[in-house]
Amino acid sequence: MAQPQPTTAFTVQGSSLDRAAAAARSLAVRLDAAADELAVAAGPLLAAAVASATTDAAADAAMRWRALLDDEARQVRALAGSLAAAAADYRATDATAASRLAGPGQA
Amino acid sequence: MSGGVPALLDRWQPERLATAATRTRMIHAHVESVRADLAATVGATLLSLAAWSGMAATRCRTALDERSAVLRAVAVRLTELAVLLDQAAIQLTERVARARSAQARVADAESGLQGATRLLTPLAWAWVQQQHETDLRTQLTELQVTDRRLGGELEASARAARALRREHDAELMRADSGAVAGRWSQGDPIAASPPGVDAQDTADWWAALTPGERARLGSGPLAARLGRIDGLPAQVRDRANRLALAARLRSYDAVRAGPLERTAHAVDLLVDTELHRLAALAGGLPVLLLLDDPSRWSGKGRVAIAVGDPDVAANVAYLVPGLDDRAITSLRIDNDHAMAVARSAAAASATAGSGTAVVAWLGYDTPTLRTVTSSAPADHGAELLAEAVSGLLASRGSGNPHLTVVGHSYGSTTAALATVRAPGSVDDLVLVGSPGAAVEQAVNLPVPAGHVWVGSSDDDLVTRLAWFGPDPAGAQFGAQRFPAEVTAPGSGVFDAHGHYFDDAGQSLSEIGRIVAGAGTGVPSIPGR
Repeated sequence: MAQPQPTTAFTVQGSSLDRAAAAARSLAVRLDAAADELAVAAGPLLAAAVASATTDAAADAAMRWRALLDDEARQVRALAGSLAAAAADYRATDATAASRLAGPGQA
Repeated sequence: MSGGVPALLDRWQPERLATAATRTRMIHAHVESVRADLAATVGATLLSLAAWSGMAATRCRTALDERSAVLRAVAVRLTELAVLLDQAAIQLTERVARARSAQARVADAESGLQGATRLLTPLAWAWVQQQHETDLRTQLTELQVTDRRLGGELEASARAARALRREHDAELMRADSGAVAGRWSQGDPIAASPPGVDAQDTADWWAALTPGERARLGSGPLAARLGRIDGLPAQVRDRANRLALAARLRSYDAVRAGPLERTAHAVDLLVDTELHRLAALAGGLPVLLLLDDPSRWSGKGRVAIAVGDPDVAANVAYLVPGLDDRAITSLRIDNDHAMAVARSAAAASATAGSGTAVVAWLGYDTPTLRTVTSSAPADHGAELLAEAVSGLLASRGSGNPHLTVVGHSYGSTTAALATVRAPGSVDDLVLVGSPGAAVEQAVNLPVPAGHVWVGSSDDDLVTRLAWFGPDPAGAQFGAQRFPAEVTAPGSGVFDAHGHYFDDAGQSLSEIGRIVAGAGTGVPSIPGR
């Protein structure tokens, strides 16, 4: 019996989605780094403020922005997960189609 | 009135605001470049797959559009913040200069050194003094007004961040995990030749610093960051994390704190308590705070505590927890597990003393019940764990320890994936209560042959789930299965999963043997 051969269109699309997922994951890491930078940026802000109210405001602003970027990194990572799942679906479809093509009566 | 003024003026540091503005611009540039690259990579791919349709395609395209919109909004707001800080820096510089000048005039007047004023009558002399003092008071008031205005603007900026975040709360429920990348400020003179994200670079960089430079980094504004940089010695990280923890505990303001700050503060208090409790229990072994980021992952917290010193121990083990392991609820349990394994390893070790360090590693964004069937948190956790393991080995240099990773439940999937990401680093891998190791067979994991171990109670339903590949306790998987039945009174089908580290169970002593590098003595039982 002939070996199942992948159907090219699905494989190509799956690979594209995998690459996009990898790119999204890498971008999420960069957002994490940006979130970390905020922790560093907060230092000079806190040192510059004189009144305690301003110090509090600076700490709060830094923490809020950091949390927001943190969440954005999660979102981008979730997008990467969706893309990877879609790529896996393509491959599964591909395998099914290939098996059918190579099945009894098709060989 | 001028006595306390010099000290008061010295407290204003407009140049710090300019530094903060520069850093904010750097963050803005990062965010903008991520947004552009998102469009160039993911966006371009989705465009090229024009025929891709259905729910998944719609969800991905919508998510991409939303991310792009939020990142744009964030970038705009960060630019505004940077401009604001620059303006504040300029204003403060000018006002501080004026105040100093006024202060100098008052000082001159007080000492009566100005030639022209010597000729004045006492009444006129008093009037001149009063005018100078009034001017100085005005300048100081202006400075305070500027400070208050800056505070108001920063509050507005925080509100903007909060509003942007609220808009996406529903999506955040679905979101996966975040990550830390050890990046360094470009502005600091020492960090101007910073380590990259590679742990070996970091270790080399640290080794090349002078003691003075290390001390300066450890007490400066970057100190808090030293605490979570893989590749630095455990003792350095511990010191930095403890300093940062103490500073946070000192500065916490319960009245002003928002929900996230309150949660982070609760984690801080718990970590502080745990450090004292463990020190009392550790029998002379050091207790080191290797990671401490209480607000990470929306307050879940990122914490790792070692019992024993990973810098010098002959055996080092990382314990990796699983489902919904968050600091506030699980840190104490995780630490108890680490303590139990450390004691068990010490009992099994041929050499007495501080031969073993066990790290309770709550270092990744563990899955919730909603995401527990997804491998995404494990993937990301594996990335972070691999960095931690590589960092340890890099910081140890040529004196590498015998390294074991013990994963419990979902953490076993994370642990297995980490060995793949750091091949050759892990000497022994222990999977307990595992729903799957993400590979078909033990030989697919890059650890020495015969060093993948499995503890799996027949009363543990989780081990039958096979969510992430075949059951590691199965005969076909090819791992070394050791006895792991629960013998504690009252344990049963539903709670066996949580008892692998119990003193009364069968598995703890075997885990201890493996961690101590004495796996040859571990009894083997047939796979399922």
